[in-house]
Amino acid sequence: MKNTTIYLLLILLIVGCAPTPMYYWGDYSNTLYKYKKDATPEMLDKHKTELLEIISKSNEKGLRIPPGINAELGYIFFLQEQYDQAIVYLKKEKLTYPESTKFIDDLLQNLSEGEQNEN
Amino acid sequence: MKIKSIILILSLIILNGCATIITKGEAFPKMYQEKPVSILVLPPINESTAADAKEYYSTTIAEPLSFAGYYVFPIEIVNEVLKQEGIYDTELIVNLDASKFKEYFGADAVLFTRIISWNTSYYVIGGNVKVHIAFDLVSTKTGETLWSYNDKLTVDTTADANELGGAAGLLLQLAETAVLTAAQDYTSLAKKVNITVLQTIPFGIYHTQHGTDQSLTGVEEKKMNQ
Repeated sequence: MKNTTIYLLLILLIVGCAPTPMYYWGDYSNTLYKYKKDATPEMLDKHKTELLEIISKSNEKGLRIPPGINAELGYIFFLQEQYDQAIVYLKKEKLTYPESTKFIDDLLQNLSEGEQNEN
Repeated sequence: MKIKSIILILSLIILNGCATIITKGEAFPKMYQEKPVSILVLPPINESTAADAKEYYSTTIAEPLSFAGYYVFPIEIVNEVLKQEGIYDTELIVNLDASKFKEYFGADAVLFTRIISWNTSYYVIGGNVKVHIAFDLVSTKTGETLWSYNDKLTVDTTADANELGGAAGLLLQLAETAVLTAAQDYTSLAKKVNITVLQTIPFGIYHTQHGTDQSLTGVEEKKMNQ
């Protein structure tokens, strides 16, 4: 019994010492690679699901969303003609990483022009 | 036989000893002066014979670069923008003024990657798979190279002759080599190359050791691009 307590304490100590990772990237490169290999709407959907998963897991773990993830998700929403969602996620990229402001602002402008041209 | 091996080992030690290892601070002083926050990764320059290497390689680089502490512009979107502007083709990009990427994207630095090899080679009874990538980080403010490094990884895919039973197994061995070679996933090799190369980049602003890693050693001078 005593031994168990010591083991548990040891484990806690070891776990406590392990540095928290900076980001959670999940299976990102793999789902993106598969989409590149087979550029179908199904593969794009799978990659999109992974991006959503990365965001929810990062939030759960209290980690910053990795750079580019919100923006890429926004872009996929745009491709799928879900423009409101596209704007939401692109703006999240800007909030998380202010250094992306110029890029995202230009993108938002181009996308809204693109959307108007389509209508 | 024994003496030969000893000489071989000794000469290996000597050769290794010759590789000059320096610190990050000594190797890349401009990184510490400029402290770039954001990096725009340009489409790779593909010098290998594999046409698909360019597309596949770009799926591997954002993650390790973020762990080095940098903001990485969303590569998929950047590539799309560059395609629309007609400059996705890297021969055109090399000639572009780096300051344009500050003007149009707000990037502090651009990362050029060159895929030198992404190949399979077969020789008489063996084979190997090799991935070799060179990196150059260029300031959009000064146009100067801030950090540069290259590394390669070769995996021997020769089947084990002993396992397959001597001369009779030669054909089997050839077939086995082909199978082992084909099964190699280039992107997983590229990921390993990325990790070893990025160990030499000074940490960016999102890394806890940002600005304090000048004395970290491990930069092999000969692997810095000329």
